[in-house]
Amino acid sequence: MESELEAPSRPVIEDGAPQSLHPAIKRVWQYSNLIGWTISAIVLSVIEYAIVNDGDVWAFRFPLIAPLVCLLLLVLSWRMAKRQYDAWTYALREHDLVLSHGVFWRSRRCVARGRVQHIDINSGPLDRRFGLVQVSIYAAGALGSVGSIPGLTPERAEALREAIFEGRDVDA
Amino acid sequence: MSTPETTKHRLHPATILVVAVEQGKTILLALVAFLWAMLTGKEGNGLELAVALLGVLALLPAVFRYLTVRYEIGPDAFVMRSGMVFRQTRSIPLERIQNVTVKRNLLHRLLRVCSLQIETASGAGAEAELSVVGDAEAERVAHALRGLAAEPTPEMVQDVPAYHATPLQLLVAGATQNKAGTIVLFFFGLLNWANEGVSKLLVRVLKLPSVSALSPAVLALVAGVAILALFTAGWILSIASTFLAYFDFTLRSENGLLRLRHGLMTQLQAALPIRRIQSVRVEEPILQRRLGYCHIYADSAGSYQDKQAGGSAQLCPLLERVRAGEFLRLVFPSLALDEVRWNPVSRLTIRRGFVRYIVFTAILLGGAELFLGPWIFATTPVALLGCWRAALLRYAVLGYARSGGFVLARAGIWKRKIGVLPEDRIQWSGLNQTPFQRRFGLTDLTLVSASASGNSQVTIVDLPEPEARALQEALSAAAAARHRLAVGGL
Repeated sequence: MESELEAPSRPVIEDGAPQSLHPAIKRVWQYSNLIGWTISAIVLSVIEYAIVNDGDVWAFRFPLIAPLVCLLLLVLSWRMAKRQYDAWTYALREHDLVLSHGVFWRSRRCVARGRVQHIDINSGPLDRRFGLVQVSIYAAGALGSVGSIPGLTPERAEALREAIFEGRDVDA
Repeated sequence: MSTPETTKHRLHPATILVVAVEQGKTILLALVAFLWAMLTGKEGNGLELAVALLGVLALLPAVFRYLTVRYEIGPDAFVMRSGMVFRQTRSIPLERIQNVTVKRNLLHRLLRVCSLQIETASGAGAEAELSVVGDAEAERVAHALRGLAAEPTPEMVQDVPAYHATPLQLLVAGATQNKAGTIVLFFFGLLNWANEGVSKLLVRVLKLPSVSALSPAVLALVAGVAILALFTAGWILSIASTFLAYFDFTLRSENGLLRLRHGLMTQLQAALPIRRIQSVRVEEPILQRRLGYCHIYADSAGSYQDKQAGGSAQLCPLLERVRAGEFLRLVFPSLALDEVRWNPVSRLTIRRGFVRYIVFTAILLGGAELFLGPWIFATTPVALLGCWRAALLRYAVLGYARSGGFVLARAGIWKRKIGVLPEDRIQWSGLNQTPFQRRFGLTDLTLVSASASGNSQVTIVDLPEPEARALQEALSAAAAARHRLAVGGL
């Protein structure tokens, strides 16, 4: 997929077929889960330590449940990344953009191109480590945040943004 | 049309007093704390000085505001300057102004001034606030700014309002609000406390050896009177608050504006441009439904009143249900609410609802068992029957319709809600499916408008998945067709 460097002006996304994310996003999810569950494990272990030792910190009865549960959840979420990846698609069609994702809680959002108010491209430290960015789509109003497409290369994100705004007429 | 002006205007001198009072409220707590510290401490010498200092502090922002705020209505923008150290000049293009709201609280009315709020579509409250200006000046500014929406016609003065709430209607509205439900919950919260607190009180007041010395009949009577008193108090409170907020509720429709005026102590006047209205909601709490009433909200882009949950305006506190269709034509002239043919959702929703109510009832029974003892579980068969009945009722209520360019969704067995959203107001749509829904192949379709209110979406619950998907696609295709028509028509 790394070889897929489109010219920013003519995106390939326009044919309307559902597109997958960049496969590296699986790693981003896995590592962010790793960080998240490690922090949770530490915090919960401290709490459990305090509970099992009942105030007597020198008793050194070590917590078991919290680290194990966190480890189990980490393994599960690690393996979920694949299914999550398979479930995530986006399609830029003639008039609208469709985002589908979710394994357990599924969602399919559809926004007309003309309704898109602005688009954010942002990337966290983990995203940057894998050379990825995230594209957030906004429509008007208090509930205008339509969603974010994670795991795009910067070129692709740029192309997607241009393609969304290209040749559209804003119908207010 | 408004005439451009060149003179810069100031706020009303009463600003100093009004702002000082507002500030005074916020520093009152600090003042009380300070006084307390002073009175309980040994030395009370600094007291007068401190109070005076606080008084001056409260006055300072007021004086600053009066001295620094200048505004003018330019040829194409409303310009407001403020600030002494950090100066700010804000200009709002006239064509961007959506709402001009006039607000008066009791103090304002005594001083014959008001607070004028100028809003755009940004949605985050008022863009500019003139607090406070004289009544006549407010009238002039509001008139000039609203002038964009054309001059008021002469017949406006004597025309009949589209809606006016009678005191009787307000009484019914207050009495049938869902607040009664909150009061009942509150009462159940009190039960625990009452178990110990009240019995101790009874023992002390009636000088009884213990509560058990009372005959059960007397005890029941006391409990009954207590419940009744509590309920009545809550009821009266509910009616009173409705009167305060919606006294003299008047709605006029003119030149594309809905003019609202209501309030007893704090009076509110607002103009809501009809074209900014994104969706409307007809709500029927169970008591109102039984009596044949409903009330109506409109969600608009740009909130018209900051204290209400952004952008949601009540169009009438109480309306005969049979008049709702006619009433809604004020907002959406082409909507025929009474001729709408409702489509049912999937029948599988009955099973889903049944499971949901069983879980809810199980939790409720479990909780009740703690207070009332295990005999409560004897009611399980009745509870199950109730759950089934509720699930059937839920199915009967759930429905949606696509009619004449509108999408409508109906839901709620206690408070029935009908959401109406014009198709051309849809910003985006989303299919959402929970793991439980997936087992039945059901999904929700949510349609979101550009409303500034956070809960204005119209959701069609528990559609069969293919139907929901087809509806989403059809709405998208219709939007594309409208778009082509608009482009082609140019």
